[in-house]
Amino acid sequence: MKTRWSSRILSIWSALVVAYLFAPILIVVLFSFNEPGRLRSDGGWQPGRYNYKWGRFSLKAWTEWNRYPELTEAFLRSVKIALGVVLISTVLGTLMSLALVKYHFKGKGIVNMLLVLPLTMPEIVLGFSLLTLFVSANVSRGLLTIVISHVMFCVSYITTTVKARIRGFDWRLEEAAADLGANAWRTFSRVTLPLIAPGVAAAALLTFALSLDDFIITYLNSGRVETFPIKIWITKRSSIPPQINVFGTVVLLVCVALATAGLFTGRRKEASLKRR
Amino acid sequence: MTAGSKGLKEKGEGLQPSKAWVPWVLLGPGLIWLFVFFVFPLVELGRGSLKDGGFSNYSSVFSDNGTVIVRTFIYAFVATVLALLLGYPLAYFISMKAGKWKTLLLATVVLPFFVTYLIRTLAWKILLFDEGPVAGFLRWTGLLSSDGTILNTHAAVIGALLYNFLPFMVLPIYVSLDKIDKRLLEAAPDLYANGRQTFTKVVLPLSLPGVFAGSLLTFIPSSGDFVNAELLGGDRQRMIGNIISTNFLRENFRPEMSALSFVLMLLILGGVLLYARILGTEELA
Amino acid sequence: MSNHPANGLDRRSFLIRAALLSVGGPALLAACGGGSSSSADNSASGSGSTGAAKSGKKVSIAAWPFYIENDQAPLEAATIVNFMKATGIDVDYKIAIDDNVSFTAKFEGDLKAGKGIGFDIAQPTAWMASKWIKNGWVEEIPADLVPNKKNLIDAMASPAWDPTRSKSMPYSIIQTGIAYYPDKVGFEITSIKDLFKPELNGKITILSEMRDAVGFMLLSMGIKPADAKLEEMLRACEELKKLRDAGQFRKITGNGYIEDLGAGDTAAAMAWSGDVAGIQTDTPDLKWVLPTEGGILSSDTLIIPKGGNVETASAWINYLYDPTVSGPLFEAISYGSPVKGAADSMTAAGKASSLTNPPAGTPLYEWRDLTDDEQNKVDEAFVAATQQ
Repeated sequence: MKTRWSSRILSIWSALVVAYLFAPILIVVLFSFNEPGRLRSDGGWQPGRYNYKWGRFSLKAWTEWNRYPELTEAFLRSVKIALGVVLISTVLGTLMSLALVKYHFKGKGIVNMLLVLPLTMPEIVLGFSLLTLFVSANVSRGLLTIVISHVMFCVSYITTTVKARIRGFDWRLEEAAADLGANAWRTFSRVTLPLIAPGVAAAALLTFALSLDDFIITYLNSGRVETFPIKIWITKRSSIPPQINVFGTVVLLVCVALATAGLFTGRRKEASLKRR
Repeated sequence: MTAGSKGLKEKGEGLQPSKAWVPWVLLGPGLIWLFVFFVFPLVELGRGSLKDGGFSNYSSVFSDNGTVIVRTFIYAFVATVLALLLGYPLAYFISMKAGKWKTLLLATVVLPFFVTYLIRTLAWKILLFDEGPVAGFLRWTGLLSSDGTILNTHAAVIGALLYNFLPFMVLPIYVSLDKIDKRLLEAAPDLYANGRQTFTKVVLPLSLPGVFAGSLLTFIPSSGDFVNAELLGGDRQRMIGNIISTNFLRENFRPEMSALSFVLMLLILGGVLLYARILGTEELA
Repeated sequence: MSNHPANGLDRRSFLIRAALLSVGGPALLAACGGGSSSSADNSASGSGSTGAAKSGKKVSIAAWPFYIENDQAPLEAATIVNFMKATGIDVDYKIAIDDNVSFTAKFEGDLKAGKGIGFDIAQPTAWMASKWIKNGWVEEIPADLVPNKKNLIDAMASPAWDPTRSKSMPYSIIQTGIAYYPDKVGFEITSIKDLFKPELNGKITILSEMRDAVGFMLLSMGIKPADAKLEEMLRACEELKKLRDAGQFRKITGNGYIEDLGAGDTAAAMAWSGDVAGIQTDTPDLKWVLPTEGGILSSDTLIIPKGGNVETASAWINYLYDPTVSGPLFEAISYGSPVKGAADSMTAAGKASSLTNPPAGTPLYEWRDLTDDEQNKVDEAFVAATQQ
């Protein structure tokens, strides 16, 4: 039975790939329960600096999650940056995707190309070209330049994602609303927005994760502002506390929860809004 | 990311706007942002690469960093090929065989994105370091010599690039496989096609757009990365990104670094066009 | 990419638009960005100070790793806690220096434009401090705010680049030597040449600080860095390149070597004295050795970057020059103190440590001042040898 065998090999292969994808995540979570260090010859515990080797099981990193306030601050700063980025890029990107999906107009191909281009450039090129701009315009790097750089690549993500999600909607509903006397704002807030909301929310979540996670572009454009990834990059030279893994695990859990919730509510609603 | 939704022409939509300026008002803010912070910086970068020395900056880029440029593209290429070998069967399995496990498996593929990039790369360091579990296991099996290391080798960097960008390969392929009308597959055996023929004649061609998108989404970030080479590589694993990231602040290096970035960008664009030709795919997203 | 029939035309108009923007762009950018960038900087430097001080005064310090008792939680470090108590000044302590060149490059633009860099104290190595001073990037340190200046050891009181120490004060005295794990190396390392033995191929790391790496090469060639001629320095770079091409070095890094050495991934490393003491708490079998050819002696230097708060920065410098502060601090971080009488405030073990108090006659060699031309040429050769 040839097909049996090939399908069995396929299953095993897939399981191995999934394990490969899963292993480091397991390590991240596991090492949030690590207390790096070693047992001294006198029986005492000598704390270590690097969360690379298993010392002993401990809940310390969780209970003392705020042991390194600068790490916490950097994390919160990253969250704030990500929220700002989501806000700006979602507005810009959603408007663009509405234009691209709803209307037929000259120059659409060029706009589409312009939107795709940032996704075809390595981050190091995007980051370095922005830096060149900031340097030549004499803008000092900081929070603002970080937000600018993140929005730059997030707009493309938002637009392409939202575009894909809202394709095939029944835009005649808008006309109907207008015919019934609703003004432009009412039409937008009562008809268009509910229609596109699930797609936009999914794109916003993606953008949030992208911004929170970004290292390369941020590294080049952050000046002395430390985002969470940059703080890890700097701090790792002299120590890697398990609190880093605690934050990593929390982000993971929150994202999983949001995505699960989105999956259950968003899909159903969207399906009911599609034509046919 | 949206490879799956392309191909479908946007039919039924594409209303003629009541006024020609309506779409441009919607596009305006985003377009301005992209022009000022994407197009214009690239122009600046191009200009900067010609400062003090003109085109000789480009020749010195190749003479000074030739090895690194070649290495970067080899790494990205190998990582992409491996991602295809690992990712295609997984995507195929999820789309065709997974049944009720589909959603869960898809979630597993996306999961790495939810762990901060730096943290998940550091996790590889935990796994791979000299006294770590993987090195220990490989030594035990004899695949690694007793004083052999995994960290600071080509394998470590390529493996981590592969890991970090594998989901970008799996998802587009999955989307394009998932779109295939399953009735086609049922029809194939009726027409006396065996399993392999069904795959090569029906499934594979229909999934090529996904393969195309996936390869690019793996190759592009791999070629511009420096985190994996910095954390898991050593002196002989440096990539273009490492050169730029160590020198980006040094003013006297800036023209050459700009030229290097430009070279990276042009090589990638060239590669994309070539690849599109070969696969005959016209659209990207 | 779409094969739009009108592509050629559109691409041209696209370029024209881009060109137009290159004229209007900077103005636009300034309008939406430049103006508020200083507030962004402020919000960043305003964070991190949660100390007990109430005067509202603050000193921001840009430091190297392992340079205060507990640099992971600096607000718990004894020196900082006591300083805040004694002066009422808040401390914002950041490990912000990885190597001299990149730290300086990071702020070069701001310094040239006469803007502050957000730090009141920085600690570049002496040769780099001299460059900052020459470029006018530092504030004067008012002598009346630093009465403890009298405690500076005589040997460091008047370098050629700051004869009256009006713009800089030494922070630490550093030895560059070798750290290694005897069991991983398999033999006893006594000299620099031992590091370059084929047995250690691919197992050692060297520092990306030019004066340390090239200095080691020079010493192994029998040349003292203080007497080295340009040709000899360039030859040392070539030797480094040969070793590198042979795969001798696992990595060439700044402070990054600490991490690999601490994780046990490096058998032997060119290392800074105090770092070794820091790593030894994790891995006690790490050994420190000053090679027979000698080690490199250098000093990191306290300066007040232009635009820094002279008052609070001076208070910090003055505090560090109290021997009863300096003694315990430098015993903890295992570097040499430039403060007279600091050893009197150390424990017997601290006094006896060759890291904090190298005995007289220890073969340690300093670099001479390089001319700009020499600096540029060696730098270029060094970058070519170690990076490309």
